[in-house]
Amino acid sequence: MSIVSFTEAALEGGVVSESEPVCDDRDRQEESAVSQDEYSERIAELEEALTLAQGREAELLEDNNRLLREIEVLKEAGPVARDEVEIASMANLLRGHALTAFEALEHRVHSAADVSEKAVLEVGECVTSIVDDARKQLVETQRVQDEVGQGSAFSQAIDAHTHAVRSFVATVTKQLNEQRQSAKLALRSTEQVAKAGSQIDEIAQESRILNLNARIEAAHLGDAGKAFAVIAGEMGKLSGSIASANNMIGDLTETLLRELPRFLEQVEQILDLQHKFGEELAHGLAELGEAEAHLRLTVGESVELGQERVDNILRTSQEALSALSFQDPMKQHLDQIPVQGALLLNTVPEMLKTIDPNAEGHVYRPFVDDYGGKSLLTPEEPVVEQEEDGEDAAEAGELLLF
Amino acid sequence: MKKVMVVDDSATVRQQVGAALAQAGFEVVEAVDGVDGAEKIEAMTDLALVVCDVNMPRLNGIEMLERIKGGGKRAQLPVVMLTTEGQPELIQRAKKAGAKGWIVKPFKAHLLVAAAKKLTAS
Repeated sequence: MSIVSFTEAALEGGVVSESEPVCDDRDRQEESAVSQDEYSERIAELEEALTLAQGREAELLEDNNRLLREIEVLKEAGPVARDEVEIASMANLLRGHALTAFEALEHRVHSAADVSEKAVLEVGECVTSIVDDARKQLVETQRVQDEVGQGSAFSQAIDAHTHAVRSFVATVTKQLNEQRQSAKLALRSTEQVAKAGSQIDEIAQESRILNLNARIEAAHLGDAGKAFAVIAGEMGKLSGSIASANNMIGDLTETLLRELPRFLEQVEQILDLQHKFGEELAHGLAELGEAEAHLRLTVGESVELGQERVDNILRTSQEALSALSFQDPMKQHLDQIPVQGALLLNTVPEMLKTIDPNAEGHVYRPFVDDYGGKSLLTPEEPVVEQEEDGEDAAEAGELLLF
Repeated sequence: MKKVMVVDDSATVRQQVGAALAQAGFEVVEAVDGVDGAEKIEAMTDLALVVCDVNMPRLNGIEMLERIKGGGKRAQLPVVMLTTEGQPELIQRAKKAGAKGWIVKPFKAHLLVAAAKKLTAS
């Protein structure tokens, strides 16, 4: 029987309480009346139960005090403990998000590296093609220069033909001059022949007169003069022949005297034309020479300008190639992002284990170029501390020759 | 025409270095990593210069350098390292292994060409 139920029963059975009157129900009193022994026994039980309760009360009080102390302790350390739990929770959550983000970042990094590599390769091919075309154009221009330059077949042909024409003109002029001289000489000779013919004519006339006188005298002499008459007659014939030949010569000289001046005039005209032709030819050849020289100069300037432009293109292409060379170091730096991220992510489980020993220990391993584990400097290696007297690291673009 | 070998696992670097040297009048051949480079260097007797990366798969540049310089037939072949690395200890290691030069990427084409001309002048 519990203390409560016994106490209730005792009260209902008429046990006198401090304030409650005796139950008026005599039947219940008689039924529930306890004997003195039983009452003493009940009291003993109550006292025992009270002792137990007092013991439990002490324990409860002790527990209460302990809890109060713990509460005080928690109150003092409460925020740290709370934060540790929150940190662990947040760290796991963050790590999950970071893992997703880094996986996406790794994919994007490799995509960016691939895209940049393709673009740089294409630009590099374009630069190389431009340089090749520029060089080819320069070669063509130089070929033109060789074709029209000093000593070239074109130049030699012009020089040869110019010389031939000048020589021909000089030869013709010379011959015409000789012809003019010959014509003048012939004219003078003809004039002298004409004079001689006049003299012969006079002689012939005198011979005829003499022959007539001789025949007259021969007639006077009769038979003695027959021989003389014969001689006179022959001399008369001779004079006639001479006169006839002289007339013929006179006709010829007259023709020559008429034609030679005309021929001479024509020779003079030809010489005059020749002279004009020579002047025009010289002028034309001079202009041709000037044009050739100008062409040579223009082509030379074009070659020189082309060479200068090719040099500029080469220099600019080298600068372009230098600029494009950013891609490889950029790719290598980008490749380090997932690696560095992996380092960060993989340190989180270690941190979490200090809070929660059962924290997840999955290690994130990004894809990077496999250098066979023999990379000279991997992200896991500590940075080598430089000695106080050590050299500084070489900078980008720097050239060292040993 | 002097022949130069470019050893690099990056296609863009091989293109850029090759174009710069070709425009300067060199004949250029390529290798894609240290193993490929070592094999081709041993096979070619008319190389005048090697331009080599450091970080490469299968065999890195300095190991390749040590291999070809270690009493091989190409011990006198000049080698220039072309790399993103610039740490003094690496440079010293390469110098000790027999490298003739060190260029840090991104490189200046005119410096590379000048170095190539100087190292192949003899």
